[in-house]
Order: sequence, then C-alpha cells, then structure tokens
Amino acid sequence: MIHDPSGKRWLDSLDNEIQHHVEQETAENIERGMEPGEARYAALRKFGNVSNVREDTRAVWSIVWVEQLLQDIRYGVRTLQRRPWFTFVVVATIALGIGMNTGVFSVVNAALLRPLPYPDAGRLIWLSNYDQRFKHDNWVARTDYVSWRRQAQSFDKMTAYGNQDLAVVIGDQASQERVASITGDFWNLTRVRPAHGRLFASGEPNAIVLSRGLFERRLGGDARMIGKTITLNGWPFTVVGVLPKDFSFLFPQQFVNGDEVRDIDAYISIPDALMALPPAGVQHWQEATGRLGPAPFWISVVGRLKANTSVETAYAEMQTVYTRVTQQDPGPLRTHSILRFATLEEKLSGSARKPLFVLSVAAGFVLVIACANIANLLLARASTQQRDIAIRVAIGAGRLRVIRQFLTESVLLALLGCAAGIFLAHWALAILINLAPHAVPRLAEATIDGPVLCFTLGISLAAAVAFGLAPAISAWKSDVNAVLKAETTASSATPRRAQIRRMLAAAELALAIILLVGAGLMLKSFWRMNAKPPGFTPEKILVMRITLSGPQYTSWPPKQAYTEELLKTLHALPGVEAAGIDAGTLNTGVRIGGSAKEDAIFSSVRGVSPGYLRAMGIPLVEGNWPERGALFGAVVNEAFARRLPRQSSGRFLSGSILNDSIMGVVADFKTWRLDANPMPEVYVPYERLPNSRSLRIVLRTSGEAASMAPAVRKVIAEIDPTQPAYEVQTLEEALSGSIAPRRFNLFLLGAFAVAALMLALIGVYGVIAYSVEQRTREIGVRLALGARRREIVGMVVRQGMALAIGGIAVGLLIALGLTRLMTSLLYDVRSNDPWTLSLVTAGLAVTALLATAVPALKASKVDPLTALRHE
Amino acid sequence: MSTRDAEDRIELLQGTLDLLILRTLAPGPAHGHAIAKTIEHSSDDVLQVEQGSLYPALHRLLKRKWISAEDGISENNRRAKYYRLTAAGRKQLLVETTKWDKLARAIGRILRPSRQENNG
Repeated sequence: MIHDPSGKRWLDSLDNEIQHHVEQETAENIERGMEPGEARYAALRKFGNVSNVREDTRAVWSIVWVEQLLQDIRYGVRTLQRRPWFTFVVVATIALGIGMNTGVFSVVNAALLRPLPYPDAGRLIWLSNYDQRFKHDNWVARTDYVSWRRQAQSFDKMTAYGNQDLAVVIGDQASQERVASITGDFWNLTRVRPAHGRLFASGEPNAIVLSRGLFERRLGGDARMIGKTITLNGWPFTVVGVLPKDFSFLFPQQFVNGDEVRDIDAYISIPDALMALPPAGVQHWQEATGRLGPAPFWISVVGRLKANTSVETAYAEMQTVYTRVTQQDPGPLRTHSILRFATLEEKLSGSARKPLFVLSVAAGFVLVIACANIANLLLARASTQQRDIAIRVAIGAGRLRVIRQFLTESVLLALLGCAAGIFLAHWALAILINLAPHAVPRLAEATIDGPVLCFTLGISLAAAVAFGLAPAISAWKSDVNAVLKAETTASSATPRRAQIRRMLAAAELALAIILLVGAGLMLKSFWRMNAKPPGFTPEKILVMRITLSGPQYTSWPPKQAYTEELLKTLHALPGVEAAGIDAGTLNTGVRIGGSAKEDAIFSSVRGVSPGYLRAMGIPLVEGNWPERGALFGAVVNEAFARRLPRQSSGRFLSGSILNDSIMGVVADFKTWRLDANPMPEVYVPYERLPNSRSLRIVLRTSGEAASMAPAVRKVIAEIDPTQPAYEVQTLEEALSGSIAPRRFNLFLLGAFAVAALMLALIGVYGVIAYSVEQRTREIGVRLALGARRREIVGMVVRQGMALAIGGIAVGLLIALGLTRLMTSLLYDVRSNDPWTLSLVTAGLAVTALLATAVPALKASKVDPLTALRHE
Repeated sequence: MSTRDAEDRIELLQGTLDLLILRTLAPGPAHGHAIAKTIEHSSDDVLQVEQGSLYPALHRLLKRKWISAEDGISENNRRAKYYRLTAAGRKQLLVETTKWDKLARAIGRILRPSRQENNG
C-alpha cells in the first residue's frame, strides 16, 4: 500500500495502541467480575475484527489514485501474463516502431540538434564566397581573411584554416596524414586545452600539435616524445603538444572529388608571410610554399560573434566589409561570388537536413502503422472481453475506471515495447556507425542520451494513448444491457467496431504504400547510379593516391621522373594488365575550333597517362586510343561529343592548357562519384598539368584486385620510401564509398518500408481473418442454403480487396504529393516515376490479395453443421 | 456486533463518530480506550460503538489535522497515545455541532410536525 508519508508516525504505534486498548477493556471486565478468559473474549468481541481495524486505519492514509493505479498495474500484468503470445506480438511490434524512431532521432539529435562541442557554438559563423554559377561555397582568399579579421567589429574571434594530406616521416616510417593548417584564433575559438605539452601561437613556425589518434598510432602515446622532431613533406617540425582524446575537428574540410571527410591527425600554423601573399597562380604558390613550408592553397574562415551582437547586425556589417574588400581588390574570382554568411551548424548540417527529415517522417509512419495494428488487436480482444467489462460496469465499476484499466494496460505494453525498442535502437546505431561513420555529419556521436530517452518515452506514451484509446472508447460506448442480454460472446462485435478495424487496416496500407514508393524511388536511383557500361569492372581495378610531397618534388623534372619510374614499375608488376595515372583535373571552358569564348563548353580537363583509359576499362566509341609512351592529343567523352553538332574526331580544341585535335571519343563513365551525372570531359597527357602533386593510380589486375595491394605498396615504397601510397582500395570500394550517404538513406528507408509492408499485411490479414471467424455462423447458413464455396471465397476476398484498394488509392495520392519532397535524394529518377509507382502498387495489391486469400480459403472450408452448432 | 440488546442500542451514523470524538476531546486529551468509554458512558450506553472503528476515525481526524497525538502514561502505568484537539479541531467542532443541531431540528420537524408547529 502506498501511504501519505505524514501518516507513518501515527501508524507505527497502532498495533501497540490496539493491544493496550484490549488489555484495558479486559482489565475493566475482570474488575466487573468476569473470568479472565471470558473477560478477554468479551473485550475482543467489543473491539471488533482487529485486522479489519488495522486495515481501515491504514487505508485512511492511503493515496487513493496511487492505490488504484497499482491495482490496475497488477491487473494489467496478470492480463498480459495470461496471454504471453499476444503480449509478445504487441511488444515486438511496438519495439520495432519505437526502435526505428529512437534510432533516427538519435541521429537527428547528433547531426542537427546537439550543439557543436565548442563554446558558444551557436555564435560560430561560417564566412565564405558563394559561387552563384555553380551554387556552392568557394574558398576564401588569404588576404581577404586578413582584411575581414582586421575590419569586422561584430566578431571577437576569427580563424582561417585549410587541410592537406602530408607525408609525415617519424624515424624511417612514412605515412600520409591529414593535417590542418590554422591561423588566427583557432585554439581560442574551440577553447581546446592540450592533454600534453602546449599549443603553438598563431603563425609560430615549425611547431606541430598532434591529435590523440596520431600520437598513439605513431609515437606510442609516450609523453616523453614531446619535443621530438618529425618531418612533414620534408620540413622539420617539433612536436609541441597533444590534444585530448575528446577533441574533434568538426569544421568543413576541403578535398578533391573522390576523397572524403577524414579525421584530422595533426595541426600546424600557416606561416604569417604566406598569409600576407596576394592571390596568385598555383605556380607562384608552390614557389612560396617551397620557400616557407607546407600550407593549403585555399582557406576557409570561421568567426565567433561578440556576445551582444545579433546575427542581423553582424551580417549587415560583414556585407559592408565584404563589398569594400572586394572593390579594393577586384579579381577574376570575384565576379560571380557573393558573401556567404551562415552559422557553422547550418553549414555542417545543410546536406543532411532533407534526408533526415524524410527518414524521420518514414519512421513516424512505421510507428503509426504499428499503433494501428495494435489498436486492431486490442479492438478484437475487446470484443471478446466485452461481456467481462459489461459485468464489471453492471456491478458498479465506474466506466472511467474501466477505461483507465484499459489505458494502464496499453501503457504497460508501450513501456515494455519502449525498453525493447531502446535496446533495438542501440544495437542498430552501433551497426550503422560501424558501416558508414561519415554518412551523416557527426553520426559517430549519435548515442541514446537524455534527450533521446525523453523523446522515446514521449512517443511511447503517445503510442499507448493512440492504440489504447480506440478499444477504451468502444468499451465506453458499449451498451451494458445489450451485451449482457446477448447469448454469446462471439456475436457481440458491433458493426461500428468492425468498421473502425477496416479503416485502420486501410490506413495502414495507405501509409505503407507511401513508404514503399519512397523506398522504390530510392532503390531505382541506386540502380541507376550503379548502372555500369559494359566492360567496366571496378572490382578488378585497384586505385590509390600518392601526393608527391617534400622539397625534392617542388619542380617538374623530379616529379616527371618519379611518375615515369612509377608507371614503368607498375607495368612490370605481374598480375597488372594495365596501369595509368590521373594527375588531376582543371575545370574550364573549352572552345571548339575558332568558336567564341561564350560558346565554350565547360568541362573537366583531366591530365592522364596513356594507359589510364584502358586501365579504367572505358570503351572507345570513335577514333583511336592514345599510344603508350607518346604524347597524345585529346580524347573526349560522349557527354562532350554530344555538345558538338557534327562528328568529333579531328575537331580542334583550345582554351587554357588545351591546344589539340580530338583523336578519340570514349564512353561516359563515373570515375569517382556514382551520384554525379557525367559532365563533359577532355583527357590530355598528364604532362600538361605540371603543377599537380596528387596522383591517382589506377591498376587493372588480372586476378583479385584487393590481393595485389601489399605488392603494389612494396614496389612504390622501393621507388621513394618517403612517398607512401594511401587510400589503397578497389575502384568498386571507392565508388561505393562515394555514395555512402545515399546508401545509408536507402538502407534505412528500405528497412522502414519493409517493416511497414509486413505490419500492414499482418493488419489486413488480421482484420479479414477475424471477420471470417465472426461470420462462421453466417457462412455456415449460406453454405447450408446452397452457396458454393467459390462464392464464399469471392465474398471474403471482395471484402478484403475493397479495403485494400481504398487504402492503396488514398496512399498513392498522398505519395504523389509527398515524394516531391524527396527530389534531391533521387538520381536520374523523377519523383512520380510511373514505373516505380505501378510496380509498387501491383506488388502491394498482390500481397494484400494473398493476405485476404488465406482467411478466405479457410472460410470456404467451414463445415455447415459444425458452424451451426458452433455456439 | 452483538445482537443481544440490539433493540436498545443505536448504531452510529456515518461521520457522527468523528463529531463525538471531537466533542469528547474538548475538555482535554485522552487515549483511545478512554475516548470509547466516554462516548459509551455519556450516552448512557445507548450508542453502540464497535470500539475498533474508533481508530480509523481517529486517523481521519489526524489526517485532517483536527486532532494531534502525543505519547503519555496511562492510568495503569503504560505508555499510551493521548489525542488532543487542535485549534482547527476546536473550530470544526463548533461547525459540526451547529450542523448537527440544524439537522436534528430539521428531522424532528419532519417527524413530529404538530409539535414543531406548537413550538414554532
């Protein structure tokens, strides 16, 4: 019993008091001349039932609603225990719905809701040049950053950073690490404190701060290594400090196509002298970094607003500063750019917002379907319990009390489902993070924490009300007299209740088809992305990167010597059928013949070795292959050729580094990203891009590509041990990595759609099977009167399909509206793709037919005699 | 309850016991048994209380803070709980007594209309 705590001190002495009372009465009786035995008996009789008194007295202090709640819970637990299968099915269904929603919400929480782990994260502003032509953020000129930082009054901190992959040599071991170069208030802005040693000052040369990961990986986590000198691209750097384990660099990174976000391994400063250099060509920059040390060509800028400055004020001020700086120093980069001013959180989560929204809606649908299913189950059960309830109401239980009992049971079920769902979500999250840690920004941080638990508990209770209310209301409205007068329990299902159940099942199908259409569209996109031209066998192609780094590779001759040696060695390697390199791309306008500048075709000009196209396995459509060991002209892809009015071969190309005739046309293919449509490409000899340092090596192997990796690494290390090959993987892996976020979305949406389909089919089956059971007698009568079994099957199936077709039709209409929101998640598929819509509709209709056919066949097997004696 | 002299004795109305306890405690504190005895004696043994029912009533009054309780020594030298009227209880006694008087008069008027008319 639950008691008002203030009653405790009075109740403690109750037993003593009662005993004392009886003794005193006994004593008085003896005084009056009774025998001791008789005196005690009389006293007890006069007192009344001691245990009743004790209980009544305690009851005075009991808190009634808690008492009743406990009673309801006990009753609910007993009810659930009596029907373990029913309980299991319901709990599993809720767990599925809750688990999916919890999982998605914990990702949403990590990616969109939880503030960045930096102080005043909401005031961090991303400042950039926004390119209006290509609709993306461009990097910032170093001198612009210097002017912004000096002039803008709204910011109290500003930092510029860039990242590069550099060869880090410690002892005689080289590895490629991602290094962030920083200047300005980076340490202050993130307010990170070193775990060991110290941080360097802005502009301090030759000092490096390591991430915990690199420190443990390369220095064995030994703090005595602070002060040791290591080399980056041949430049000596002193290890001055190590960052704590929990610090993560979450700012947007810069990388070329085909690369991906990776953890930052170390931090160095950008030399002040470099920051002061005016914008200039790549050649000039390489000369400068060769003199001053490694630094990224482009930088990004993040500022922190002053505490009392509003975003609007800061934006207005920054706009003025931006315009002034641009006018003082107009350049070719400026023409299409405007100021981009966004909170860092917006910038980071921008691309994840839409998919996460779609996934949240999808998970919500699954939960609604699950609730509808459970409501159906409970409604069916309520029909059989109706008599029981009616008796309870008749003997004086308040209707409200009965409803409360129903809701208590629903809440119990929901809480069990909630616990199982949390477990499910925890397990699913671990798998997702393991599979695709960068598919969604900050996915690795997704955990089931306080806010997520609150959310889960909230939706669980909402679900309990959602599926508990329908049976409760139907219990409320049922007519006690009618129910008690009815002869049997089986015939007590009211038509209205059956109507509700059919509507619920139809709604389930409607929601399921929306999810199925969404998943179908994404699946088709995925299929379109993965469509390979014939002969393209990415699983047999090994790719890797080398970034020529170090003072020995600042000029062209040693780079060319290295590249030639590399290609020769790779060709000689047994098991290699073809080898080539891709030395980088230049995106530029290409003019055809003597065409005007305005008619230039904006294309990617890619510097490759002659073997590259063959190693990639790209079919030649027209003209000739480039000869090995010869400087070839230009090869274009079909996307480029399509832009030409007539035959391509022999046409003369000019612009930028081009001055060649087209010698061949190759098929379009996706080199590094599966979800990018092929853009016009021109292939030229890699010698045309002498400034490039980053080489992408492509090897076509005769056997299994992945098994070649160690041998390839070994021969590359033999050429120059300070230039490690990294990101060694098959092209298939690289390509599938490029669509990791899409695969993540497809996987989740697909799982949700499958769950929705199963639940909805179970729902339809349940409703039809139950209605057949209810109508056994009627079916028996029909059969006895001469109805044929075929007609019985038809009758049941018609009833089921009327419901199914209604649900599917409504669902399709909604799907047509909703899938338009998904357009940005699709690739080469329209949101109203008739192929997907009709396939999904047909599939769902057929499965729904099967779900009704089973009970229909069962109905046709009813034995009229048994059915009529049934009750 | 004993049926021997049921005709002479009257069962208490629900809630009346509370009023009687308050009244009994008005002169001063008393323990449970003493309260039961007082009620029986002062009604000339007409009111039949199952003595046990006193305790739920006492606790109801405690909960409403109309009485309080403290430990004391009873006449036979044992520790006993002494109940005492609180200020709120005293006020309540007044209210309840007035209510009771009204009720008794009203019922009397219905049961013996002529006499009521004569008196009125």
